[in-house]
Amino acid sequence: MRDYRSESAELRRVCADLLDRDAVQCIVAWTEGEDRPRVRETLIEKGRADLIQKIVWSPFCTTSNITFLKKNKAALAGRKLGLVVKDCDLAALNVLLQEHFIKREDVVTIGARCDGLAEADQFPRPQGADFPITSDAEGVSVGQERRRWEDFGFTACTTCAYDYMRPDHLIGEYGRKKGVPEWKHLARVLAQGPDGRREHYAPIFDACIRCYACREVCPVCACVECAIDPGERAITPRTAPAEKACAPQWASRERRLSENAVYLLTRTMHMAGRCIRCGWCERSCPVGLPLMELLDLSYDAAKRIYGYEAGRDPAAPPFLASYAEADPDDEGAGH
Amino acid sequence: MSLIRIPAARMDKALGELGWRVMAPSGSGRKGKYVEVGAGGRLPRECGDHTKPAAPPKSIIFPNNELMLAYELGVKGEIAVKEADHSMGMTVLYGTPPCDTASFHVLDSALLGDIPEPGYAKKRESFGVIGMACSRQDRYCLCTSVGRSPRSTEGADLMVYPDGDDLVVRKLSGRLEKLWAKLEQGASRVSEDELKALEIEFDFRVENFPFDAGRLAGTLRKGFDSPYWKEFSERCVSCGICTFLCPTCHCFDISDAAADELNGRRVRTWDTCQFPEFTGETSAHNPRKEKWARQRQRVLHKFLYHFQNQGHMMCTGCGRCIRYCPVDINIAEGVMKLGGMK
Repeated sequence: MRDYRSESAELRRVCADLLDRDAVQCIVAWTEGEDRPRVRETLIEKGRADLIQKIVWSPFCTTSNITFLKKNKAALAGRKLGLVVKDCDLAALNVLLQEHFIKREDVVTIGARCDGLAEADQFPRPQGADFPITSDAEGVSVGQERRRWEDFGFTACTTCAYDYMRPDHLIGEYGRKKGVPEWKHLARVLAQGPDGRREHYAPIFDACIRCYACREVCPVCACVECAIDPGERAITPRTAPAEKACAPQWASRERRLSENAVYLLTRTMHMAGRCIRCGWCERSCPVGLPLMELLDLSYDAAKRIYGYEAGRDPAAPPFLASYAEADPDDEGAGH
Repeated sequence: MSLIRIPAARMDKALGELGWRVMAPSGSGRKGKYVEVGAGGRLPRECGDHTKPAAPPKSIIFPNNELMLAYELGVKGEIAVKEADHSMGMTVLYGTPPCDTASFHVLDSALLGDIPEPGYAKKRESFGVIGMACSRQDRYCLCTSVGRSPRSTEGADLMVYPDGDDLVVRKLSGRLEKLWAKLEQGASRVSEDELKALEIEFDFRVENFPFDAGRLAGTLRKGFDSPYWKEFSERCVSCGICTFLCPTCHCFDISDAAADELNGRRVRTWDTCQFPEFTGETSAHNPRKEKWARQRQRVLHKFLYHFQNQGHMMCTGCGRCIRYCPVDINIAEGVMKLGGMK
């Protein structure tokens, strides 16, 4: 059985030590918030003993400190940064390293071994400040409350296969056997042929409300301008009016099946070899869309057809930007 | 008298006879929705027997995607414009919790003001709300912190208080007169005192976030330049969850979608102050370029500006923005910190 209170204490020691000896200038870690056992990403500077005391690691660390890095890149630039990460976060960091989003020498990783994630909302709010969080092969406990891993419906976690990540500093040991990526859900969809697939995916596209949470929480969705909804379009005072007026509009703002499909499918395609299956998009989706059923299509294609595993090797060329003589041609690659 | 007691089944029957479209909360959380209760479908018997659906009811009369007009360019260069028909068959919302019920009062104050929004105004004409007193709270509820309560009738045309197999019904507007006439026939009258005894079940304070928003408004005004906004929004990812799921957020964008060179549609879609380009100007200037400024706008619009302009809080206390925020940004926590309560 894993005891996350003692693992958190160890994590706090490691973080405090890194800051004390100036191995890093600041650390992005999960800290305990007001809504226990929910946690939040927090930037911790040297000397903030108050925040270091709040650092936690538990299955409720469902967010990603890599996304925090992505979202605060300008503010963090030029600083030696400590990042508290779990297995899939390390894979996401590998993708960003491949794409030169950040330099390896600028980050120190403090990795926690992850057995899967849990949803705080499924537990009553624990009373008092000190409550045990434990887990074993079957499930998670907060105080006396217990839930099974399957209860949370986190498909990315129940099929997570990460067991090979090597962070700079390591916290904890695995307490359960890792899963294998299963594609049962995909096999079912792919076996249906184009019409069946359209029927399967149309309600998903139709229900999307275009809040873009899937894109924003994604640790590797790091484009400065998104082709679909250029929310952060790089307009400067020198941008010519014609350029602004003629920016291509691949999908209109209409929230209808066709336009939503362009958004979600473009994201799926662009995620080939980049999606590391952390599943945060699916966990965040406010209308409960099974987004892994889309993203796994491209993860599966990259792995099965090209033998490329996203996020595995930071020195490998980015999947969509590389070519090898031995790559199968379109015919061989076709679904 | 506008207070009656009826067997709950009479409500189903009366609504069925009228042939109106009836929408009710169904399911909970992310999978929950306000859905049409078809003929023979069962209306919810109590409020709070499930978590509120994540999707708020505003989309019924304030849809995320609304056609405003379609245009067509003729061969001689003439432009034919066809305005959209916003009329809607009579629709009632049944069994909404007081937080969602109140949202229509807030939306009315914003969209039916000096310049009514045509699409909303038209649909509002054939739309009524039957609220239901709420007997349960979940971990994110905050209605009593924002000047409302599990039994407040704000925004309701009829208010329903479940009492065993019966319903006590209060009439609050003339909007659902036809339904009221059917319910009233042969119904027993209820005195205000009797209702008071019944209301005890729905008379409780929600203690998740112990503050009184009305009293904090002045302090919030002083907090406009507070350095806390940066801390509050540090982990914000600028998605649209908090505002799209908010039952009262009503910002929209108008854009043209060209079908081809000759045809196109003008549509209105939800927009949000949390998207970076929301306040982007063509000159490239953006007054709310930073996410802390955008979060400040969201919080102060809910808890200060709207309150100053309309006299009621824009937040109805449903708690959706807190529950579904992917990074645990908590508007109640923010208001309490800025109000000096923490």
